[in-house]
Amino acid sequence: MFNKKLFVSLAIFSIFMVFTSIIKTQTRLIEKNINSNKRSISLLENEIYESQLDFYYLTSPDYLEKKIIEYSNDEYLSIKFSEIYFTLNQFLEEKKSTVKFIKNEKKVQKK
Amino acid sequence: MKKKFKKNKININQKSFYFEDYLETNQKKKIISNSAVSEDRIYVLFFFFLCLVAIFSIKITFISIQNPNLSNTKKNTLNFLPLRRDIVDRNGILLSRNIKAYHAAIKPNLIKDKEKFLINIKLNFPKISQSKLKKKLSKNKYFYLKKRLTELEKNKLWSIGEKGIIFESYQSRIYPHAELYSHIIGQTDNDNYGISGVESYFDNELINLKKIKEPLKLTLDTNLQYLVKKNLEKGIEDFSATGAAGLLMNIKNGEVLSLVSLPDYNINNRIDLNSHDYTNKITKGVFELGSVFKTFTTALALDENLFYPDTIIKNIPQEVKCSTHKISDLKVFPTSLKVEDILIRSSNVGTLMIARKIGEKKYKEFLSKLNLLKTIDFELNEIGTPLTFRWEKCKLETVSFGRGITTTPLQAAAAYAAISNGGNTIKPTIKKTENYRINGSRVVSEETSREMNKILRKVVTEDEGTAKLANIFGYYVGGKTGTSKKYGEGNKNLNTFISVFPMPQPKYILLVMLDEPKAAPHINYHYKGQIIKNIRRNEAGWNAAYVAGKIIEKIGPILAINNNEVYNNHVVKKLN
Repeated sequence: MFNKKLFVSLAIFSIFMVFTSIIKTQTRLIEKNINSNKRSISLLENEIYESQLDFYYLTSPDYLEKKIIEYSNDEYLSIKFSEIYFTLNQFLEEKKSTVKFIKNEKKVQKK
Repeated sequence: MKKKFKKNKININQKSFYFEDYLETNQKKKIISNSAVSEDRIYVLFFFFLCLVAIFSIKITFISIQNPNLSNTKKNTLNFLPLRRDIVDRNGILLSRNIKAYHAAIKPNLIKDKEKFLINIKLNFPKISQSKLKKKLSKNKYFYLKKRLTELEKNKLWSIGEKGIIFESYQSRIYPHAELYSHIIGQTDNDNYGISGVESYFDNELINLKKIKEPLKLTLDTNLQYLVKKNLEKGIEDFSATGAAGLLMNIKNGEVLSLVSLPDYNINNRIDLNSHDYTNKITKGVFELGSVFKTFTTALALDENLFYPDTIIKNIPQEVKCSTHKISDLKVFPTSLKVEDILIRSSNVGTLMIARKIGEKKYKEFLSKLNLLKTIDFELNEIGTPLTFRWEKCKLETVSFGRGITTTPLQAAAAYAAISNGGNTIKPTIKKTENYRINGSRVVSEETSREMNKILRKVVTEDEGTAKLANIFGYYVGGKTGTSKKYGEGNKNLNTFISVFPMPQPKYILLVMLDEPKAAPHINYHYKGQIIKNIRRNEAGWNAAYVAGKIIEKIGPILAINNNEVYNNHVVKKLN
């Protein structure tokens, strides 16, 4: 009976002991992984930090215009937003409404 | 008896049995006492291991609760921790950022072959004086070879492979848009403290380490800023001007979308700028803006119910003598003009007559309410103060059409915003915030504001108007021109056009100013389907209004796209 108790106690103790050491080892491994991932994140963050600066420089309107002039033979002209029509009907409708608007303005002025 | 004896015998035997039994008990007791000692030892051992388990458990719990050290950016050498916050525009486009850069220093005692080192430096950096370098090397003291190295220079020095070259890291402020925001962003010193512009005004906010990863957002828009700048540069070229300035502002909340002053400079370079040409013309420059002041005179007259827009003022003389001055108009106008026509045609004499009716006291109070007489509250340190003057004889008359009174273009634009937005003053701002507190004071009634907007629109649409060239289809532009002579500089002009659009409920204000423009007969002006050639006029209507029109043509689509109200009401609609 005594031996049995002792045996059970020692067994439980050993299990806990092994279990604890496993957890400790695993924790250390996880900790190492966290550290290594954090280092990678830091390096990537630094890269992003510098790349962003490059990106904003390379996509600045001034730089883009210079490059278009340098590499393209096409001459780009900005089109008035009010002159963009998607169909012929839309164009005709808009012209009609503009004529009406001008006529109304003239009438109002005469009054 | 025998039986009893036998029984007794048995009893004797039993006695011996008891003895044996006693012996066994002793042995048992002995064994038990021995085992108790070893059990105690086990308990001690068990307790010891239990303590160990407890320690491990506590450690595991502690590790799981505690953040890993690497999360602390200060301790991590890999993580670059900037000393100043980024500055971004309203769309999140980066305008300013700290980066790691290097100075090259020399430790002479670590250089073995000094002759070879000198040759290497001569080959790679011919501009560095050999004699000075030789002297410094001979002193055997730590010194800087070159400060603020570029990437190429650093690589060149690195390739020399000399132990004595020390790369000292420091933080440098970089501006990816170079000249574009030179007058707004400003610069920092070597210790990363702001010395001008936004960098200086918001210095405490920018060095706040608690917010270091959160950029400072401005109200400016890079695309709009670029378009305004490009067109102003074209304007300088077309009209041979010495400088130009532009300001685009939201009329309701005072958000500055673009602020350009030309000439500008690359803020990545450290150079001394002594010329006044590089002053921020919008905020620091104090100018006599001329006829743009006529709008204030007319607005006050209408607000005081002294006149209606269609009230006819009769017997307007061609010339008025005021004190020692003779005041006249550029053109000969009819002797009777409506109040609105006086503004549309920009008549000095007519405006003067309106001002006389208003009276000096009221006029002075009105200018004061419009914040035109004192320094404006704006988020830059480079702010100009209007020149003080005495309200002597004839001052009211000259001030009414913009002579003898100075102000910054920013103040004039803010005053126009107040008149056109329904009558409330606004506070111009360049810092983007979620909620603007619009608690401006009322300067004119809503009715007056509406009437003024109608008149300003007519300045652009009427044949007699002075700003016909700014009439851009789809954007319903209104505004007023101002042509003034630069004080003490002969015939040099300062031409301004302040436009508000889209009418009748304007949303934006655009101020364009050209410094010393010349007549441009080579330009073919397009007006109402006709081409007007060989114009030798040098009034604001022929240059500043023309440039403003070109700018509105370009920025209009961006403003319309970003603004549903403008898009829905004032721009040709897309088909769904």
